[in-house]
Amino acid sequence: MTRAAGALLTLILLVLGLFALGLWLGGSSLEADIERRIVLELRLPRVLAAFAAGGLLGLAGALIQVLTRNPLADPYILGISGGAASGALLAILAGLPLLFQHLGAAAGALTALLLVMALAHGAGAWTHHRLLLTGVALAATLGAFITLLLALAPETALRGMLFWLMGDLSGAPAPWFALAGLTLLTLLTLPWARDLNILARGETSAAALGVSVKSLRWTVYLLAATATALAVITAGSIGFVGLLAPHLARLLIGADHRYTLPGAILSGASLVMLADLLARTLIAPQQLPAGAVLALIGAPLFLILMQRGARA
Amino acid sequence: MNPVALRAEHLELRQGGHTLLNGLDIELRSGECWALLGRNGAGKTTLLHTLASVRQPDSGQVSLFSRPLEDWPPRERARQLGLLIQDAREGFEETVLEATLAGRHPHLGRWQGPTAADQALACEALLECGLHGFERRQVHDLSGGERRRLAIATLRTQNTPVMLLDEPLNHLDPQWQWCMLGQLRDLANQGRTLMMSLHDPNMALRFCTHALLLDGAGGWRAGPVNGIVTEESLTEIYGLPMRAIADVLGIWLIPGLAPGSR
Repeated sequence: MTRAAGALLTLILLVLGLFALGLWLGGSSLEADIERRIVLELRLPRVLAAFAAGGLLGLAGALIQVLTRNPLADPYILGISGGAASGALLAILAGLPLLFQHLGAAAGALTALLLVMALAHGAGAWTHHRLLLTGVALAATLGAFITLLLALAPETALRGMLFWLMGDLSGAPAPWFALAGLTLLTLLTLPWARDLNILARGETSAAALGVSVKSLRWTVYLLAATATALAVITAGSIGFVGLLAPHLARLLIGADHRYTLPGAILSGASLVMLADLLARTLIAPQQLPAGAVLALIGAPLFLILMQRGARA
Repeated sequence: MNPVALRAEHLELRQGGHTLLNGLDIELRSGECWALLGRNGAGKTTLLHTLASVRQPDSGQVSLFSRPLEDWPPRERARQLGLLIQDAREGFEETVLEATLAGRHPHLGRWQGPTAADQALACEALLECGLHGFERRQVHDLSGGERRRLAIATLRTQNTPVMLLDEPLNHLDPQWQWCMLGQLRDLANQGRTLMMSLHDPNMALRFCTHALLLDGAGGWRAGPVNGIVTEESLTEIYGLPMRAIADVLGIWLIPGLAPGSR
């Protein structure tokens, strides 16, 4: 209990620190007015978008890992991000302006979500795994489609497409949408936190303990899919954070989802905020894709924490 | 006569197009401890899951305290009826105490965490199941028998008036089999209702008040244990000649075959 509270407080302080750094770090101008406009109109939305996208992916990852009872699961196995990527890349390929990339991503994510739900409906054998296997199959198909798009794309479009696929916040739209989504999804998820603890122990025992397994699984799936879609629309497909954030939260906090869920949201948010900060300052004015930076710092960080956990 | 806790009427169970159980009419009263016997695949687990509302009956009805099982809101039902599943699979890492406290889930409000009283109940159940001092250990580090006792402790922490147990003795040494069954019988003596699937008919004779025998082809026999668990009925159920041997403790039923003969 105290351990969880301490870890959550540390994560909140970390997020606040990264927020301040994200606003202040970077090239400065001599004129106060321009400086103020850079901070308010460029850096603030970008930091908020990083916070929201990271938080959403952390939440989605924690939910998907309970749903699959697989600690290796990642929100991108649902096929949602593949749908979003296909839509966004098609928009880039067609040479459409930035707004249409986001609209394309949203349309692609929604199509993938509806497709999974339509195909996964049905009874018979595989009932429990049908939802996830449908998502996995769709993700594989879309992955092949994305590769095809990249192979066919002209040189000029390729760079933008690769940045999108690796996750990139330089073109993030107004972050309010993702922030509102994160707030709403968090409020919708937290009431189920203890049910998630029970579901993680297996479906039969969860049902015997009074959990409505079937409706809870659909609820969790929809919450995770929506969170993933919002994150991908905001920041492209930033990989690894959805896998890493829930594990960081479990290492720091433990397996009680009443604390692990907020922990995963805050871990995901700080990871993406840190990655984006480095991505735009490391070799400024050149920008790096935040997703690549994230995996470069996130994976070793995770290994170090796991080693320390094993020794303790 | 004690009040009826769990009642099955015209219950039919099918699995894979095959009828396991046909027209089961049975009443489980408070204070009764039922043994469920039958050969492998006879439908013991299927029946327990159906009685626990984890699975739907193929026809017929089950009622808990005179109210049809499907009319119970799941959480309310889980405060009255608990199920020990055969193979508890482990989830993410958790401590023994956390796993035991899962039994309190149906008793707690949506935003509530376990209280000091819940913790005390869990610790007492762990003590009874020989897991005192294991509270902070990881479930992953326990042996098979210890995990079985942890599952029983979790069911005791759920603290329901009706308890269904699917092979509670799996992985347990003789002394723990004896100890756990003695405790379960005590729970029945305190007014609870228990039914458990067992493999050893002698355990049923020693510790249970009643028995239900399944032949796996639709047929069943139910009643007070001494009239049901006999040489003849077991020979029929298991397809193996069984012999009754009497000593000061009572009747012992053993396979009446020399090793190697068929």
